[in-house]
Amino acid sequence: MTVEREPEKFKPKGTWVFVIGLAVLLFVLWLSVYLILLGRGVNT
Amino acid sequence: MHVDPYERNWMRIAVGVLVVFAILITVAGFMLGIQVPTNEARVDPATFENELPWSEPGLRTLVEGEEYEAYIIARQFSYDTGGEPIVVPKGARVTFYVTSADVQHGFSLEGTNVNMMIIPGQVSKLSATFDEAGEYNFICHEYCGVGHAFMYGTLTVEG
Amino acid sequence: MLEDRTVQPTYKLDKGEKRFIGWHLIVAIIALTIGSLFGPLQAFDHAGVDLYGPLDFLLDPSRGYYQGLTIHGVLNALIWTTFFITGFLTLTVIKGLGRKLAYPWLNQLGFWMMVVGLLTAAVPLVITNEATVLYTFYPPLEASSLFYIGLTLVVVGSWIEGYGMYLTFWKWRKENPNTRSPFVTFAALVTMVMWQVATLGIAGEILGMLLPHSFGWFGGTDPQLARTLFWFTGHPLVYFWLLPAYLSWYAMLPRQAGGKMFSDSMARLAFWLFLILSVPLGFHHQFVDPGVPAGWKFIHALLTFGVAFPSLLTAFTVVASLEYAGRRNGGKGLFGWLTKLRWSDPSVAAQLLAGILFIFGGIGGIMNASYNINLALHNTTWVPGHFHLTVASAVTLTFIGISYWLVPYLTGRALWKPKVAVAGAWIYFVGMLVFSNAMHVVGLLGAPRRTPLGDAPYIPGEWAGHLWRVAAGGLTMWIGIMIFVVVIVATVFAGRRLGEGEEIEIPIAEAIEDPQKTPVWLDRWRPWLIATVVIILLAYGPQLYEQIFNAQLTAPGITP
Repeated sequence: MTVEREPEKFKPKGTWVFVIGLAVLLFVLWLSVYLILLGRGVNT
Repeated sequence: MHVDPYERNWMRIAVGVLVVFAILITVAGFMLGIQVPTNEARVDPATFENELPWSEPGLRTLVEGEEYEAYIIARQFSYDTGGEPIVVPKGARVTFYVTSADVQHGFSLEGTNVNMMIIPGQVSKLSATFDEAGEYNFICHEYCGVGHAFMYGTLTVEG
Repeated sequence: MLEDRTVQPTYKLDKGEKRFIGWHLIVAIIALTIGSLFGPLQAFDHAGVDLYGPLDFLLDPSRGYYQGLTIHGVLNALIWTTFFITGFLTLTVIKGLGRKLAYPWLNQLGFWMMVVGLLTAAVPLVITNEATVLYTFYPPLEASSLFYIGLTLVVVGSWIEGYGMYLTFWKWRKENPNTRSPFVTFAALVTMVMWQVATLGIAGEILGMLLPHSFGWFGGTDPQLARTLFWFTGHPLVYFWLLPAYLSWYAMLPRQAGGKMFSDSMARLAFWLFLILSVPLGFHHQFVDPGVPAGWKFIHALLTFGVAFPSLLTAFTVVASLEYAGRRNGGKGLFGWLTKLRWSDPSVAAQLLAGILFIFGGIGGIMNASYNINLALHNTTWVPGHFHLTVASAVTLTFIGISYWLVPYLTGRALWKPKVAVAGAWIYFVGMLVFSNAMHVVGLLGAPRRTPLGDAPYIPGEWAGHLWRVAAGGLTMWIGIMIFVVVIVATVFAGRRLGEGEEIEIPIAEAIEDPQKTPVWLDRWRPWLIATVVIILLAYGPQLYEQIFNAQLTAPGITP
């Protein structure tokens, strides 16, 4: 298999999109439980 | 040290998300009053039941219809509420003080943010306000022996 | 001119070294086989089906669930992991440095001490039913002294294996003062050093309180202090598990997928950050404890966000390495490379699936760590849902993947039916998705962990659907594990002997950039060790002082 690119020119674009998706997923899931927490009321 | 530009930007985003989370938990905890238990008081597991308040566990009224306290002793495998059921009117705020007479237990009151570890020698304190009538179970969620699965109680909100 | 060390290290392990590593795997895989047997039993209990009957001869019928759960936790989370890790890291030290262990008898001593410890603890755990205290053994629940002694020997044995590794590295360093330490060895050393520091907590708990109490020297224990000491170790324990998996993801998987290590420097930085940040944040396991002040809990929550950072870094660096491999294999477009990752290689498939599961495990972990968010999660089934995505997926499925080349390497036999191995990984993956999702959901609804839900009178009927998914997922996972065990056993006893030139190569990825260009500050121990100690003193010092000097040993032990 011939190497398509020189290593130094490799740009991880797919990785970039993947980690952005990861951040979005993290944020949305976290927020959904945060809202559940707020819905259960004050405890002090 | 060479850092790929995409990776550098990812580091900024990751830190940003974590900072947002830190802000939100600070708001909820220190401004909205949704807090974790803190160190409230210590007792001697061998003698604490000999004097008040623990010699008379159960519900106490501070302000009729509004403010209550519940002293509850957890022991294998039930919650001692002084032999009386816990019944409060709608809108009441109840502060729970719970300790253990034997092993580690849990105390988790459904539908609320009262979730605490109950540890011999330590007093656990959190409160809840009940805006809706109904039955609310509080269960033990820490393994405490063979009867653990049966350890729960019920709080009734009338109105 | 510095030697180019990026080419494949050429040192060949001899039979004795292979056998030593192999023994670790034998113990580990036997532990996993026995430990995972209890998984489906627990899962079916949750759906209201009691399958413990046939095991009455072994387990005490009145508490079969809890004894089984203790065996499941100890064998899976402590024994499978510790033995696999010490064996695997011994390999990476030898192979990375290209030399024999400095004092092989020392490593042997450590290993056999761990075995003696395991057998000692196994007596009360399995035979005499005197250790049904779960893997956290919280006092006042009290187990037989043999249980505590056994665990102590396992931990001390692992320390000694670490000492053997450090001495080997030290010898290499004296002969090679200007060469960057090979990444696979560096990562192993960081893991073992972090573990040495971390285990001081349970060492103090067991040797300072639980063991003397079990001998009758103290009238009671201080259960809050016990928890604080346990979780001093309990959090970095998960990094002891994870870092060897990360080692494979960073430095081996890219080669197996046909690529290179994206960034040697970033990988090292991540490992150093784990060294300094794994320990000083154990209070996030104690967010709802009554005896720890809220302020300290909050500080540990922020520190935990700090330790999430190197994992988020790892996500980028590892995925970038895989993208490089996939594109090298002909992948096009933003995501075409994903399909070009040698999914037919069982080792690659298992590790990629482990990584996918870990996405959800890591997200859940950040949520657990978020201070008051924990109020909605603590001690619900969300927690085991979370840790099955981490230790039972990221770690276990990766170790399974590693085994798929390591066992052929050690035995000189070809892997038996690789397609079956690949299928097993996918079966486990699907089972885990179903199981863990159901556990997270029913946990948010209020279901408690560590509880035979089939017995609990307060379970509402609405939960039945979720609990059946727990059962189905759990059974599926177990089938996946059994496929792994069958493949390994078949390989060991009936695998085709590999011929000349067919020997398995230990996959060590070349780095895209020359590791000799990695900055020196990423290869010097002293500053990072100092930072490790300082941060721990700051984050734990005041509370440990407070809790130890105000300890009240007044809670008598109770045998469950």
